[in-house]
Amino acid sequence: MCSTLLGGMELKDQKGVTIIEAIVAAVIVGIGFVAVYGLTTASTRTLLSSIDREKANMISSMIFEDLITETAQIRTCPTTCNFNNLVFTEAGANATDSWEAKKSKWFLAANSALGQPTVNDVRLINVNQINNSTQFSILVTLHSRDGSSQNQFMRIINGS
Amino acid sequence: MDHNQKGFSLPEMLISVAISAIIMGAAFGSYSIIQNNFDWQNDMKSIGQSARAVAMIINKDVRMAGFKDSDGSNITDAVTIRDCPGGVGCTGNLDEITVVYDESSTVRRRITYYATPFPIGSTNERHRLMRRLETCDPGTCNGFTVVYDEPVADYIEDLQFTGSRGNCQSGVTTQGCGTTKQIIPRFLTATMCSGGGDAALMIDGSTDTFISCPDTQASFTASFSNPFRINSIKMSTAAHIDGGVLTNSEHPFVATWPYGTDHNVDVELSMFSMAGECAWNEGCGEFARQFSIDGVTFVGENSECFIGTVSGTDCYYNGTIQDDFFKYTTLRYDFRIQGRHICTYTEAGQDCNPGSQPFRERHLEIAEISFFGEEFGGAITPSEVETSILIRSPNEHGNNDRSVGSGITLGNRTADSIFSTWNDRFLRDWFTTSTVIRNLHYQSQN
Repeated sequence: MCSTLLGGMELKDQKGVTIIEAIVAAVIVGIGFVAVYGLTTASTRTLLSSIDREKANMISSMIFEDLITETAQIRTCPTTCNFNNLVFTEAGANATDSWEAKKSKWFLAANSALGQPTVNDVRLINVNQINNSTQFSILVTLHSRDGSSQNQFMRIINGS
Repeated sequence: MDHNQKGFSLPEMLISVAISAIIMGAAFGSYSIIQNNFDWQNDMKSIGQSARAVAMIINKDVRMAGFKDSDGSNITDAVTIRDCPGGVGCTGNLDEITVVYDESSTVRRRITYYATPFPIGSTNERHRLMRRLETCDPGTCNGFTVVYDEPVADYIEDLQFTGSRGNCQSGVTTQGCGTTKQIIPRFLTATMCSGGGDAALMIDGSTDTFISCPDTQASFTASFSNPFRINSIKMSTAAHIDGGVLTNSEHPFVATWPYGTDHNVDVELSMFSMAGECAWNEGCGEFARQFSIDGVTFVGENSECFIGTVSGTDCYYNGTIQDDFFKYTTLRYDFRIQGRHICTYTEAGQDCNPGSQPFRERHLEIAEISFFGEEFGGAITPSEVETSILIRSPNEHGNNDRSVGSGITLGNRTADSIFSTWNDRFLRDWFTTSTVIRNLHYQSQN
């Protein structure tokens, strides 16, 4: 008796999507949107990391610049010099001696630009003499965002 | 044929429209989130890129400061930092820096970086970083001509220049915080020179004019306007004297100046008798070196030496550490004295021992005495410049105001006091870097 309801078609013959199917499809599409949204989060993280790298780059170039005029210090490296394995947090503040003042400057600059270091942040300077020559490689490690942005910069400085 | 029609029923249409509306809504939501994120990233990158560009541009010029063409006139103000607001010559609230260097033998550049509000009075007011280029002829630089004065960066919120090894503040006499240059005394007087002599001739910049003391000893007192840390003293003989190459050797000293209100330096030069002979107008002796600062005397180890045709032995000052004023450090400074004792009335082949014969006067003739070191006071003009930049985003982001964190120090300004007013929806970030002005640094080592 209902056979003529839809223009004479039998209800059981209808083709189309059920509400369940439609909802499933919507959920799948929704997951796609969530994934795209996740993409933006990832790119934000990358951007922040790149900004930190930018800042760390500036600070490391500051350190290299400062060390160019400290060849006497460099010559005593890596065994007895003041800045091999120098962890930035060890630098003293309010220093008046020029060497202490430099260390303090790096320490403050790193904290200002990259924030206070947290557990997984490594900030230090390493010096290595290259094959007993007068060339020294200076490696500056500057981590930030709890280790999620890890940056290392190296420059060769002539210690003679 | 009606019963053969196929199509969607009304409920089907309603349901499908509802579902597609939900999907389109989600799509639009995602789109706006992505769009906002994109805008945010755009601005963050523009901040970072501006900062890098500004640092590179400024450092490039600062690094050249003081570079002088060999034929050019002296550059007296290689780098000047104005600590604003409040500093002498400030035009705004943000620090300014001026550097001077020779680009070529025909062009001397004076470049000033300063920030100016733009657009003034607008709700979108911020600072623009300006670069003013002025030039002159290095040989006869009687005034600069402005070539251009144009913005190089926008959305600058704070700009700090610090002449630093550490935390330099205006007036602080920490090593590295001053101006490294030749320091010309306010006045110079001869306190041991028969007839007085005109000691001012020794600081007039000309080796054609000189002081002549017919004595075996001469002593001078120099007075300076500002506190300074002395690195070296150089003396030049009168230009009319021929022959004799003055040499000196360099020794590591650091003269830690007793920073006080009394800035008198007594330079005492003692003559020693010479056994050598000399001809007319040839150098036959040289003063042995004695030098005192505020009554503390430093005596050379080499009590006598010869110059000129008499002997080729190098004269040098090798001071003894007698006081805490002088101490060895890792930094190298040179202490240098050049000078000459000449015989003015001897004949060839005769010695110039005093008193042995008449007509054998000994004159101490000095054309120039120059003091090199770091001067403090006034504007900060160091050999090391730290640049800090705080930059704002062009657009506002988000729905909530945000304030920049506390505890941030840019240059010599603790930002907390001014940051509190920046409680808005703009993004801000700050960058710090520094550069060594090689020309000035190595000049101070000579």
